[in-house]
Amino acid sequence: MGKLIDFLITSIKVSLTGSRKYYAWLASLLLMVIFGAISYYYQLKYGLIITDIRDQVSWGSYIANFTFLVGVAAAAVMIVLPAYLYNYKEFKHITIFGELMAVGALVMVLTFVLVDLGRIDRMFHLLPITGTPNWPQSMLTWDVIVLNGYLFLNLLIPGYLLYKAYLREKPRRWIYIFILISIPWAISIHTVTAFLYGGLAARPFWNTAIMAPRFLASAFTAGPALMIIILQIVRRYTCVGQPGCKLVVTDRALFTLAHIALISMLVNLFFLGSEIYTVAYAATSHLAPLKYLFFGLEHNGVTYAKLQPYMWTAITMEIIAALLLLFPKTRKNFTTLNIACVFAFVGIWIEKGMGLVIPGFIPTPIGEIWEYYPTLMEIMITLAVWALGFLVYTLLLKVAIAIESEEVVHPSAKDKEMPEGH
Amino acid sequence: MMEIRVATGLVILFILLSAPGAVNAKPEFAEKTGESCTVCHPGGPPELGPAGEYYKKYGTLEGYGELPAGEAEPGGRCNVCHAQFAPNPVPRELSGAPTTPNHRFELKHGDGRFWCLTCHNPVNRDTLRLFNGTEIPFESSPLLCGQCHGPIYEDWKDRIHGRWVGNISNPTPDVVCTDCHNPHDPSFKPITPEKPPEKPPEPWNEIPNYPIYAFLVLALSVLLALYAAWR
Amino acid sequence: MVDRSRREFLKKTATGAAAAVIPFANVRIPVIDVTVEELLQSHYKEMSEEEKQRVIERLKKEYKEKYGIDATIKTTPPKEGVVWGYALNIQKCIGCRRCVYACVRENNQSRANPKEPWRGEIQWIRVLEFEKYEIHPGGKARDFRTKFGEVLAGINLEESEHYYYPEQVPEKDKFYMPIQCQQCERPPCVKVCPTKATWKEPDGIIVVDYNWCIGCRFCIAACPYWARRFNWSDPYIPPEEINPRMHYLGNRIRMRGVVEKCTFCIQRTREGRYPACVEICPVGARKFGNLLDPESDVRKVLEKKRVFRLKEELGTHPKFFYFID
Repeated sequence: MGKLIDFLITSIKVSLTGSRKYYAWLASLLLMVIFGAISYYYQLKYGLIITDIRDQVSWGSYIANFTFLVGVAAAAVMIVLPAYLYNYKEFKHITIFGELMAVGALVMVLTFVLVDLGRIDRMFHLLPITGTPNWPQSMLTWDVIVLNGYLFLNLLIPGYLLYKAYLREKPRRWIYIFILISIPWAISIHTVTAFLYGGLAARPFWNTAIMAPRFLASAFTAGPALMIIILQIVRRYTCVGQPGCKLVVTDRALFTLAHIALISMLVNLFFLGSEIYTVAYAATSHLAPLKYLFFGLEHNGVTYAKLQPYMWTAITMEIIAALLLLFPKTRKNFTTLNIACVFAFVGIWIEKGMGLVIPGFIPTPIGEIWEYYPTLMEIMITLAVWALGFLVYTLLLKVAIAIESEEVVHPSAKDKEMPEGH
Repeated sequence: MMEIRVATGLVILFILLSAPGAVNAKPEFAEKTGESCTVCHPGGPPELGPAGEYYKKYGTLEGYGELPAGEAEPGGRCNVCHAQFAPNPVPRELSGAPTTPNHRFELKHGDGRFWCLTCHNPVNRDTLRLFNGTEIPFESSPLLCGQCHGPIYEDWKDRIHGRWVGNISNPTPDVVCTDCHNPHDPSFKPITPEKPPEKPPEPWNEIPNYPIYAFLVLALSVLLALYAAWR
Repeated sequence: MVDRSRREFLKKTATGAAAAVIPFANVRIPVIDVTVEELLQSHYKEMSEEEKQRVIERLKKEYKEKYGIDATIKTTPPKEGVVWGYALNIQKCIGCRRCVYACVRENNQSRANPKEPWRGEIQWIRVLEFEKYEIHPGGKARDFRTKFGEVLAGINLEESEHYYYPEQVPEKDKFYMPIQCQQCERPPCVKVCPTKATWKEPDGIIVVDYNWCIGCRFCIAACPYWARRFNWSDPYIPPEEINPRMHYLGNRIRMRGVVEKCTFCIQRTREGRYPACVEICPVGARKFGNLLDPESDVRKVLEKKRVFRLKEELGTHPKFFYFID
């Protein structure tokens, strides 16, 4: 017990000490979080009227970002699976970055859900004992269970492994059961989120079987894309590459991640094309949301097309990213690889976030067209939640790097060697 | 000479005495009964307005809007006048209408195929007459209307046609056709609609200079991040 | 079995009863503006009679203090052998919207407040205007090609107009169809609610416990008829326009952040009276009654008229029938 407390206290100390630039980064994120919290105070006081969400479009920026980030969280499985099921050595060294990214993403996911609630003071109604969760009928209840479970898994696994590394001890076998559970669990979090949308017969734009496959395909593109960028940042700010450094982030790991992102992106584009064909060929009334996205809808002489530029940008970005990742020359060149990753991430953020959630509501089930565009307060709160996620991820990563690179160790284990299995 | 003066005086007296009578020129029948139609119907017969008029009077929810029974009925006083003279069964446009108090309208029911005595009972104006000659009171007007408007009459009996308020198991009784429909001009006229729904309200935005604060925070945040990223 | 009753006992005592006895039950939490007792009250279906009465007393006191009205808040349960149904005659509807505003007045819905424009208006009934028909036939066939034309008639939701406002209704070439909660027998909104804050009562009315709803708006996304409304800010009702005859699950005054919708005027129908929209319709287009009573208005409509329901293919089995005379 004492060692655990030491570990926690040391972790906190490590995460809060660093260079001036590190403090600047933390300050940058904290500033956004505080401003967002102040804006959220007004949302608590006046209600969700501070946003542009209304009865016609009843989910907005918060849920759009929630949807996208669940995918990013699920993408950690793309590193864990090869590492533990196929013993892919390159990935074994970076699983911890993936799992902690899942934690950061899940913090954002849960915060977005809470920020979107009309009565956050009643959130205990969602939990058993204090509330009446509608299990197994409501997909949101499933989502609460799987998301919190996945958060628990992704805190437990790296936490335990780091704790054991901190003590220079070999992790016990039982952790592998949790690691194995986390693999299908990751698939399940994004499947449940997709089922939230796919199960609604009222919204034909979402009520398709391909919702879950599309979500997974786009998640496994955006997640690895983000991971590639983050790993390069880790390489730059830590001792990676220098002699005697215990942290290993090889180029091969990055290129394998890029390969995974490529396959997922191609599958995602295929699914998107499939959706477009299915809706557009028969041209039923179900075509309206897709038409709104790409060409705008016209009613009474007024054209509604606010999302049009974003969608075309997203498709262009995705295709460019796919092409850049496809050819080995551009995939292995770090400049083009980074461009591809940024394009993939942003493109999928647009396509899956605002390009999926908003048009589901346009037109409304009884035919009204009402456009949504987030207000400034809404955008600031959204950015604040993103900053919170990155803040959590940064702090956790600082601890992980410090322990993994063997800089930090429990006083009692100072002279021990790091055992196998880390 | 004296006779001429007396005769003139009598004539003048007679004219003077009949002058008030001339001002209040009562129709023949009113002389006999001593009453004027306008005693009961000062503004003419009560209008059986279209549904829109009806809403104005009975459409509020104070007291949960009870429909009155038969208040719009004009019956009961027609014989005051019509008992005094024989009916004229020849279908025609009434010469007295539209100036006589009780017939001050144009009959817009039946597209020129009806006239008053199609429905009204010539021998007893306080009742209506069915096709087979049966006399019915005004309160039973559905029996009359239902002769031509058969399906609607059946629907009305099943409570499918018409407007009902009050208790579901026993809504306002005694509501008949003429409580909503003007029998002399039954088509409902268009009415003014209520306002359309408001567009969703503008977002709350009462913090002065919020965009400036947001921009400053964002700029500062970006600058700090750039500093952290600079080699 | 033992576990279940113990859990229920815990639940009832953990929140509901405890809410009354803890010393700071009346403390009002700032910003979110609820008392601790209100925050900790139980789900309506799990309340004991005493707790229900306590909650009602608290609400009555609140309304007296805030608005100066003497409200009666009933908790009338559903009657045996009653399932409510609704029938609307779109041949007769003239689109006058009297039903919309009767509903607003009867059910204490938020009005637009010019001084605080963010407290917008809520209307549970939405009247749609359709063209009777629109005919632009396509061109002649040429080889294998034909110019596709347009022939529109009937209920075409995409082409409907919600904000019509002519001088007089009905317009000659239009017909009208009001839509409100269809009180489905298989409601998608009940299925998706994560906290069971909305459920179907035995008499067929879908109700919301406004103190249990967390405002996630999943039900609004799930409703195929766009029947549910959300309180984006505090509702505004001028005190003189408040209808003091309330039902806990119906027209009591809501708070910001919760969902509301048509309840077939549960405060009226459970006392045996017609809903407000049925009573006010000036042309008698609306019919209401007990589907289980063969002599009721609605059963007669089902027998004698051909009815249809909206979005039949979604399998929601609404109890709101449209018919043409």
